[in-house]
Amino acid sequence: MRISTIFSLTFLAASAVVPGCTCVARDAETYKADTRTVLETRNKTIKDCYDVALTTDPKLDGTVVVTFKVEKKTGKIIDTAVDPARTKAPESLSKCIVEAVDGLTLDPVDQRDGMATFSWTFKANEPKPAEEAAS
Amino acid sequence: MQFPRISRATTSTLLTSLTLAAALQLVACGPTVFEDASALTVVGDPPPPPPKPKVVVEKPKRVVVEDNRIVINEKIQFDFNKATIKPESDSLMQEIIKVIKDHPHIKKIAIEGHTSSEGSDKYNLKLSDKRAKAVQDYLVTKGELPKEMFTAKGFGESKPIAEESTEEGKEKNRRVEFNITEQDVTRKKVAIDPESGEKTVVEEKTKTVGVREAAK
Repeated sequence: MRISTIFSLTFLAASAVVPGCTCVARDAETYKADTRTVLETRNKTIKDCYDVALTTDPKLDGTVVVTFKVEKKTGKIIDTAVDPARTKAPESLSKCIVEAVDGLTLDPVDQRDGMATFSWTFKANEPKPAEEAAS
Repeated sequence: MQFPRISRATTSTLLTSLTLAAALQLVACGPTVFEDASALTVVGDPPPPPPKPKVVVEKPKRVVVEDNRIVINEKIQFDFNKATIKPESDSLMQEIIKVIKDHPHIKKIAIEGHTSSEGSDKYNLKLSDKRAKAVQDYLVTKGELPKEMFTAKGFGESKPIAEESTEEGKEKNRRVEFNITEQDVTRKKVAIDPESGEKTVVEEKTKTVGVREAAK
């Protein structure tokens, strides 16, 4: 084998093993799944957002679509925004969800930014029957 | 130490490799775009509706004052074939006393005793009379109401209010009635302001009248 070929192969191998970013490189599916897991840590908060909205309209349902970026350096969810074209819910509920997920952190961080779109669908249970007034 | 001499071909290969490596890194660090097709589902619990106001079903009053009579929506119980008021009717009698006292415009009451057609006319007349008088005694002695306020008379079976062919009808006919025979009637003259609609009493007269006159 020629010496030049040996040099090239060695360099290429080193480049593949030690890329510019020294962190996890997820494929899109894993990135999505891991991000979803992070978002699910806020399920309780998001349910609270919805329950508050239900006090105004007990039959309220709908969808909120949120886009955000997962920052590669920190794993932080930033630039969170509602997709108004695909969102069908009151503004107060959308805002509450944005606030709930904004700032969450993906750990370990990924070597690439993640440009994510997630949606939440809301459905209300039947209201509990009214209690009799105390005499 | 002597480094091996690098040929032109080797240099060219190295440059190509460097370019390839740089391209690889660029691809590795570009953003990953993804969208979760399956939405996160949130099931909410609407608050229970406000409690229903408790419906208070008012018991119908047992003793009601009407224009010219006091209606008793319960029977005064007497011992069988006697003119003795049973103790279970004490609360009803006390209520009658209270209602009379609460309506000072009532001046005179005629207590009437009535029976069903069971038994002889004479017996029924006598029994109903005794019972009417027993009621009067009760109101005077236990209620401390003036005796002059009352008259008590039995009518036997002569004034039925229901068919005697059924037991229910007979039961209805066995009764004590309280008819107001004299009471104070207040007549008011009221002026109504045409603009505000406010009513003002301009004259008020109270006089004691008999039943017929009061009904006018």
